[in-house]
Amino acid sequence: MPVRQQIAIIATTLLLSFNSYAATEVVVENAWVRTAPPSARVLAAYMDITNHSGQPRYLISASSPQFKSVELHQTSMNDGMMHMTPVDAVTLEKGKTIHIEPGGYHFMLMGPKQRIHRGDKITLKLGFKNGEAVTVEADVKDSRDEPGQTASHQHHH
Amino acid sequence: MKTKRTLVLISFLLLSISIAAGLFWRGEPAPLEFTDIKGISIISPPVSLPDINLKDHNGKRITLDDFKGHWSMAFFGYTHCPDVCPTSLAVMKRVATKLRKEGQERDTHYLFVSLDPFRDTPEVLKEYITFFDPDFIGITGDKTEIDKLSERVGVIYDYEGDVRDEDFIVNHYAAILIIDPDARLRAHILPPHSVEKVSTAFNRIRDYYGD
Repeated sequence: MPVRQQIAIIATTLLLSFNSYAATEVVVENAWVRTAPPSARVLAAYMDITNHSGQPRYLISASSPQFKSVELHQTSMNDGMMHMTPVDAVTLEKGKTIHIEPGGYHFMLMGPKQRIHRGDKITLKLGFKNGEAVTVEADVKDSRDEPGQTASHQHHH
Repeated sequence: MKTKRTLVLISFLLLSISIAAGLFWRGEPAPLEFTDIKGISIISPPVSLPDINLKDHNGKRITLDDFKGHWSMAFFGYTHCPDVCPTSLAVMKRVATKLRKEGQERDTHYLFVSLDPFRDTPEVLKEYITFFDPDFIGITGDKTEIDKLSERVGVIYDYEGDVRDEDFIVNHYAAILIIDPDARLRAHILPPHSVEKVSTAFNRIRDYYGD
């Protein structure tokens, strides 16, 4: 095995072990994307994000290889009128969980690169102000309560 | 003695008049009150829908007559709406399923009225609405006709961004509207919507105001 490749493997192993430690800091659970008609140009992703670290964290970006762009939006109601506002950053207080759920915050997934179907997995990369990134796998399903698919998977980079 | 007889006669006449009035003129009952559920706004007296000329998701003409003879549940939104519309339509779907299961549907029509005629052609609406339920009806048409309807029923909305652009947002009122079999607006069910809230309110409104 060439030395260069060996170094690469060692580096990767080190990086992975470091990251599995970091993985306990910001934890994403129950990630899901709502099913939409096959030709839908916009979908929404939801999840619970818990900050187990000792300091506040700031979620500042999101992207997905399966979509042209991803934005974080907030739905707010004013006398029954629904407004959708892009959000620059979401503060995750230490020890707290933020629920990204229908009628509140949502990740707006725009311009799917291929048709999305129920049961597909959507990969989402969340970026934090401290440079940390979390990759999330979200299940495409009808609703959060849909039985059978509960686990979502995540790993750090 | 004569005075007494006159009084009896007058009372009898008044009684007859009120009975006749009750029989021939059905007055608006006192507004139905909801003390246990929040966000139900009863429209009393009800507001008649205007004459409209719209299209359903199959391109079929929709007029005022299509609202008559059955109760309707209507939500106004747009198909590019990622959060609010699918949430409320999913609730409407579950309400429909519940009513069907309980044998309480009584020919209810479920409508999704587009506030975005720029992108929501009948074809786009068809794919969208039948995804939720093949029996739901999507409604679209000229903006002036949509505005005529939305203004009458109190659905306000505005566009954010350029409508020539593919990505503009529609901010909109997101109540579920209840329309009676005489094509009159009876209630607004404000968000957040749950299956329990919408089905309970809808059943009580129908029982109270009758078919």
